[in-house]
Amino acid sequence: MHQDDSIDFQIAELIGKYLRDEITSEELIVLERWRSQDSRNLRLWQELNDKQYLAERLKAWPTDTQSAALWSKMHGRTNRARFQRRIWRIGAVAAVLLVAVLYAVRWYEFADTPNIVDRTAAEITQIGPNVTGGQATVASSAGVVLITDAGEQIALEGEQIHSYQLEKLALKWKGNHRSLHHTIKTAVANTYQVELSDGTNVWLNAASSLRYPVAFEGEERKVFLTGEAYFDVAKDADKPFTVITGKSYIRVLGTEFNVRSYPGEVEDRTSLFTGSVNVQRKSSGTLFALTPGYEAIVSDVQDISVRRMVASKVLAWKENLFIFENEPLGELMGELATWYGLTVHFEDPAAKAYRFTGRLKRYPTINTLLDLISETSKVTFRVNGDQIWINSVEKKD
Amino acid sequence: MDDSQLVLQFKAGNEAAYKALFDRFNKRLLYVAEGIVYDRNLAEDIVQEVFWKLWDRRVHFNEVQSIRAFLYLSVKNACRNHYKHEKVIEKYRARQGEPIEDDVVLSKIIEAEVMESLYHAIEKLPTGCREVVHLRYFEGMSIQEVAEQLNISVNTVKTQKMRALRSLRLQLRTLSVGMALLIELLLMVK
Repeated sequence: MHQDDSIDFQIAELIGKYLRDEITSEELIVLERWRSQDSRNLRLWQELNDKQYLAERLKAWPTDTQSAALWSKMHGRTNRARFQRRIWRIGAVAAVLLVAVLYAVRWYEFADTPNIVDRTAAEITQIGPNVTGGQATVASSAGVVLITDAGEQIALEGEQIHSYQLEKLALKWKGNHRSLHHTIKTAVANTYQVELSDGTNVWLNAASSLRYPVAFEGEERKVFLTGEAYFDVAKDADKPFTVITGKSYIRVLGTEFNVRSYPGEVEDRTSLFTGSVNVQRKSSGTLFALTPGYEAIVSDVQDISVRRMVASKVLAWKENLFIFENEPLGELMGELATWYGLTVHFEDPAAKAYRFTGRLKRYPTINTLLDLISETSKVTFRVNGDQIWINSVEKKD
Repeated sequence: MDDSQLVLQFKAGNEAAYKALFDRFNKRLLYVAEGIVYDRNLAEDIVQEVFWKLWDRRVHFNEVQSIRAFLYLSVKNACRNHYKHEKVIEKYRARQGEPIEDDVVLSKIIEAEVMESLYHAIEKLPTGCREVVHLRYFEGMSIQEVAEQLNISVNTVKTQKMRALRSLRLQLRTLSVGMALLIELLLMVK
């Protein structure tokens, strides 16, 4: 009577098997038929194959604590409801006798139930911390680390932990360490947002580090950057804000801009979104005042040059995307290599010139992207540890 | 207790069997309900009521599959009833911009079933294994580096542990693709 064919449990099972890599070829056919049946199936299929989405949804999965609390809430009521129903039936037969019985049972019930509920609650609170404790151990190895001047290293994760840690540290060092600096380092494939003491917000891209004072003292606000970061600088006309990279000084009063300065790359790039900044090349001292919509390029071999920026491309990393527009594979792979912390080898140098256009998610590992690229082109990838070899298909065959 | 016994016990009014069914299904139902009404408290109320209803009708069931279908369909109906509540409508519009349609709910149910199976697989991973693959996949280290890293971090630990870690390194090489996906998810979640 309760069977309902409209819920397709078999498909759920097959998708689960597919994701765990346990599916047979016959089952795959069934799955493919379902997938092509209508667009909603296809959409669901795509979502469930998107690791980012899955991970996000797994976070929404109810916890043991939540379901234990629900059970204990239900439990008391179930007992009571059962008693009441039983009483109702008896009552239909002998209503008069019932009154006495009802009082007796209710009395018993009220006297007894709180004890049961309390015991359940006590058990839950004991289970709770243990469960979370186990998860916390797994979580402690984060991709973002905060290093204090005293050499302490603290793993940073969610915003909450982060601000808590920073507050704790700031309190600890307050007063006697006026010029204390923190350094935040992101691992590959990790980004991090931090708010500095003046209210400036910094988004740090992967494999980057930002060194900044716990409190800005003196007449200038100075931070040191390796890698890439987007700055939303709090306005303070009396205290200019300076970003110092390997090649440039970038001075601002209050504005939004993106700085890219990875050690392995030949160019520093400062892209301005609002306000104004002065970019200075360290080695020659040349200064350039940038206007919004433009970016300044600083390299070791050439003086500052300025060009129009493509905002969506500059900000792609903040949106967790790679955006490529007619990009040669050589440069595209360079970008992937920086993000994932890999080294790229072109076995066929001609492959460097192949061009790609597309918007791709920054998947947690590079494999998905390599699959996508090789599907749409004539190149093959061989991955071994942190090394990638690229060959063109014709040459290999 | 196998499934047919479980249902028999449940029909007979055994509370342990009822609890077992609750444990098996409550998370999926909460997940579906919350995914539709976007309100945790409301979702909990819905699931609670659905389980009461299940208890009331326990004599009608002969297998776990029909219990599962009953639970999901009851959640679906309860969500639709609650949906009439204005607050929920507002929340729903703000997030999705489309009314609750049957196939939206059905998609959600399939999703819940898939999540359940993934979640179980992840929970089964040994913790030591997680540690190694964390360095491998999350920190982007090579197997060599992972081994080195672990050597450094366990310097003070007894040789026994070192051996255990070495065997984990071997384990890492034989990870299947499916396993790798689970680990990736695990790392993204926590």
